[in-house]
Amino acid sequence: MTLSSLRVRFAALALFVAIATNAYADPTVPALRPAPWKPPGVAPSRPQPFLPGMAGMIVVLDPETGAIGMPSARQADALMRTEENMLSRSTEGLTAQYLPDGTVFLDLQGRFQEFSVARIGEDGRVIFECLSNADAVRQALRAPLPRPAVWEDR
Amino acid sequence: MKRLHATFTLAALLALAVPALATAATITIVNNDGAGEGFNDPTAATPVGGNNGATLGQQRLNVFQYAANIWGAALPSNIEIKVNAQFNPLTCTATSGVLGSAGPTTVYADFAGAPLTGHWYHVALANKLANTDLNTTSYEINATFNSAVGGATCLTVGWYLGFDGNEGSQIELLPVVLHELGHGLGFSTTTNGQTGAWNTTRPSIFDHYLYDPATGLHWDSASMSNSQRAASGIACNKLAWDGAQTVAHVHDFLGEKPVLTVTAPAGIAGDYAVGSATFGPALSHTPVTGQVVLVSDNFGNPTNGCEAITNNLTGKIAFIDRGTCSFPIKVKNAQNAGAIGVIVADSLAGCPPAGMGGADATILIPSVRITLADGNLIRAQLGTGVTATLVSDPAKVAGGDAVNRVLMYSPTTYASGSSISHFDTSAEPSLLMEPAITNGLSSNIDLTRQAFADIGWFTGALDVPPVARRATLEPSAPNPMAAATTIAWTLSRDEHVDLRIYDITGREVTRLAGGAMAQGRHSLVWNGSDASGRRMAPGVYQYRLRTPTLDEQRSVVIVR
Repeated sequence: MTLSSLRVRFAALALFVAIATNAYADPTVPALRPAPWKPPGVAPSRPQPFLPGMAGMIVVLDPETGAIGMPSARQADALMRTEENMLSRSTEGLTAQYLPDGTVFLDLQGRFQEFSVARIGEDGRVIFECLSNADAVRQALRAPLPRPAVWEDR
Repeated sequence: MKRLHATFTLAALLALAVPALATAATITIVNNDGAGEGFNDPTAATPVGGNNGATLGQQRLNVFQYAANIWGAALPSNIEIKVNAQFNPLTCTATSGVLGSAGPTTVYADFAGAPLTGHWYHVALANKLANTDLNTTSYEINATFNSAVGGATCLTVGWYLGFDGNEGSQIELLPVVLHELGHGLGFSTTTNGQTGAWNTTRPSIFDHYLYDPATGLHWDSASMSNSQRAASGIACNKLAWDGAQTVAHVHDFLGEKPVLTVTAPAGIAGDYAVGSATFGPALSHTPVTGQVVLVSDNFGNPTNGCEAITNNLTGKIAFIDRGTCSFPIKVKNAQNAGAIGVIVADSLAGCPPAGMGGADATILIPSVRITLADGNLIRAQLGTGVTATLVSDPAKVAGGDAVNRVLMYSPTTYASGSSISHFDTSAEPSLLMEPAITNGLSSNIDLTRQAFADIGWFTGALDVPPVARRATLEPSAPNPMAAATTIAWTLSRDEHVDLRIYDITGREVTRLAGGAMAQGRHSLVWNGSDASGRRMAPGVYQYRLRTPTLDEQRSVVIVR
């Protein structure tokens, strides 16, 4: 082995060590790093797993005009049912799978999602809540609009 | 040559010693929307707040990827994290609606590299720890957001798609995506908080750091029963996160804790959680100590303080029951009777204690609100003499317990979904993973990174420094002020600052500072004048500091 080839190897190794030991360096918040661009409508790069409650685009059609529009109350209930599965904490039907190497995994089947809900108060203030139970989401959506006062005044 | 060979060997050994270290994670938003909708919505859009997407769909995607990049830069992993993301119409009305959701697709246990056996790990974390993609046929996180927001009948104010935290009255998408992705990356338990039952016989790694002081057990302990677990979930101000990385960095993010400390009698001595008032001076470093005395106004309910108080409260801390009249009336009556501070005991059960609203510029004594349960405890001892102190304790953090473990959200009524898998709302300033996203939050992941270090994202690291500490605003000194007071704040990075003074009605008095400022501590002196140089009348004023990482106000009292 010549001295120069040793130097090259050493430099390469030193570079690797430098990279590896900098892995915990405090990163700064990045500038916008564009997502790998996918032309509109291109299918995801991986096979789509079947996830109950994780349906694709839900299109609501006006029965008279056929136009796409906002859901009716009945349609909204149907949507909420879709969301209910995503909010579910039930383990019914979830089965732990065992692999030969001892690994265990559990497909959550679209459940155990956390939901952000917003309400707009009379003063225009946006109130956020993060919930994961369908009843809690319904309650939050039906609750009276928050009063302008931030805190109770008596 | 021999030295070079030795160096080479050392370098090789070092290289072998660090093979497990991971680079910043790559989090990819996989666009699962169809043509013409969601992320592919072709509606033309104007660049906003640094988001230069030319269409609505591209701007939405940019926000998602921006949030993913923030998490990716903050967490190490050699395994790509794929987020199955889409915008769909979700339940909504003009004034309320579902914004979006996220969560892990799968959880893993007992894989090669798992720090603890018998615990569920969210798949993104499991992949990182195993250093392989355990889940090759699926995504790691599901995320669905509401495409109807901003339409004619759904939260009509619409999404704010900028990155600069300048959302105005709109709904800023960035912190909502950051928060929900945080759950998907590991900030949630798979244990049922209402029943206390583990999911499919295993606790989650999140449970390993949920500490219940009543039993001295963590949620993953086999010695803890389901009922004990469920009880700790509604214990309020008890259940705490005790991960070492998080506890070590609480002072980087959380402000001082306003506390009511009872020093006598010994049977009820200790710190009590308080809600703050929007009127009068905030609790300061200068303790206000005195005997606690139940007020009497000799009318109706004599202890509600709604009429002129008849007992002499000179040098005492008044104890008043909530109800019938506004909070400022109660506190003003106590002040008129000579009180140096006020404790308002709630009339309804609930925890944590709420704040007190209202305004009265003539109130010059501090006041706090405590829960009904704590109020009853103190009230029962008033006959034998109770001594208490109202103080802002710099050694303790707002949102922490007595030893600065971070409190988890566990109100006395179980809040489905909100309880347990969030930091407590008493954290001040607010944290990203509280159950409610507040206006001050934008792009700072604050203590969540340390919580992620606790659950294993930084295995082997002795300390995980914060990505960016929050700006901090200090109490002014002196306060009360006569001629002048010094206001100081510290910036964790170069950022835009806006500091203004307001009177008690919310009217702006003067702007003290504005513009870009460098990282570090800054201070200035306010001489009690408005923008025209006129001396302001005695009373309570608020000074408010706004930066991209902080929106905080404190009060200062002018006495002359």
